[in-house]
Amino acid sequence: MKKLVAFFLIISILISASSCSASEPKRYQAEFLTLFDTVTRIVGYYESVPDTSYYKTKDGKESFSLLAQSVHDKLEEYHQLYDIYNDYDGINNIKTINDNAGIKPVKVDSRIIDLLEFSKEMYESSDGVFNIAMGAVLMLWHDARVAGVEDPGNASLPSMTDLEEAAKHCDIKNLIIDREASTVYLSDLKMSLDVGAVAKGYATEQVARELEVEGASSLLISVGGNVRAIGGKYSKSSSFDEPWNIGIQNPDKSSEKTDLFSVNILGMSVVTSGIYERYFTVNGKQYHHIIDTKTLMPSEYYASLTVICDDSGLADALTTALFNIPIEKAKEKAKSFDIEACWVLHDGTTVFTDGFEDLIKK
Amino acid sequence: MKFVKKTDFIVISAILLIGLGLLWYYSSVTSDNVSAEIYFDGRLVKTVALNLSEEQSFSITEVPEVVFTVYPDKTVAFTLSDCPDKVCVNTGKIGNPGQIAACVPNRVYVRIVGADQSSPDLVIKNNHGK
Repeated sequence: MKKLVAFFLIISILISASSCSASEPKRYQAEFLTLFDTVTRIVGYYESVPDTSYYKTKDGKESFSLLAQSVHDKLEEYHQLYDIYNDYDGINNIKTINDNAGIKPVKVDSRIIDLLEFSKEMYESSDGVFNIAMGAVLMLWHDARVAGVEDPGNASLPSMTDLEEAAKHCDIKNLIIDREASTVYLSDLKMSLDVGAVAKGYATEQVARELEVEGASSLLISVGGNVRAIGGKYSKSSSFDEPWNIGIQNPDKSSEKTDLFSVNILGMSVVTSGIYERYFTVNGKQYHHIIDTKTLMPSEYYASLTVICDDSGLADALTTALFNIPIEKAKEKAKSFDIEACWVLHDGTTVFTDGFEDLIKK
Repeated sequence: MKFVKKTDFIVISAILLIGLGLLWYYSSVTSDNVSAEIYFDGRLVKTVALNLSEEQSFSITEVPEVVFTVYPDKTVAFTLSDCPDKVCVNTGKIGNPGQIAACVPNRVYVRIVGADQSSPDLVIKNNHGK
């Protein structure tokens, strides 16, 4: 009988040792839907660390939850500052700036000044293709899309007369930034800022940098389709130097293949943008949400575009900028920014920058 | 005295067999089964196994206006929603571990879970908000 008990003990120890392996980091994932009107996802690997003072282990899940909460709280600050739809008590945000167009300069947080100055630079370097002062035009499309999705039978496009009238109030020179006084003023009464094409990526980048300063060395943050990696992920052979693997959605939703391919990144950003999800239908034709600054209509060049570079804010802005120019020019532009990109044409053809394919997981 | 008696040997073998059987059982249930977890307000409210032989639709009590459908090809999709953008419905079917589909206005999302080691860490799509 004694022997039997001994064997039970040995077997149970063997089983628990093999199934728990307490020191090996485990993958944790968190999601929340409360920020930037999209899905935020965080992935990290944590191990349970023995806490010798109490002779018990500090749970890996607990460590991850704390970090996820910190990511959420940091992002939330940016979300409130960059919001163009909602007011928050005691905060002057981009909506406040829009509400005071033609009225008065608004004193704002330096993080708003940073975003707007970055966006102005992007306007210059994209030859005006990327323009956050397009609010008046984008609002017409936004309203038409919401109405058209709500009541598909009566869906209609915004009229070209209205679009052209709105386009007269999209001059970024009327966005007046005073860094000294920390104020922003829109000198055109009918003008408004829409930072939807840059705010998420820019905020993600800033939060990632804050986390890096605080000592984070391995984490994946995705806000909408804006992915920013901190370091690499855990694997047995590499410790924390294994590249993260990011799947890119196939814009052709009728295809069996849901992912186009996946890319490997170490501490970089991947942003993808496409026409296949946010759209409305008028007379059988789909009208998506990426508006060409020249035609004032949904951009017709590509089905999707993926940009990879270090800075998530730049990657985000470029998914809009490089979406709105024809392929040869777009490739040149990508080169001048020293980034990698992959365009998917409407017939499913993919066009890559020179270094992109090296990042694709074989 | 013999070191191991015949009865001991039988008992040990029996225990080992049971142990191996259990291990095999656990590994088979955890690796093959892909399921969809449905979250509302960040809370897991329902788990559905994606192994149905027939198409089946359902809602959760928290948001009865949203309808999910599970398909025999081991996928799940938002099929109806009262939200203003219908991005959730446009997302279409998902079924690979790690994929998610969300209805942001209704604060509900579906996440595919399973032990597929070959899946990417994240799958991304369209980065533009409203």
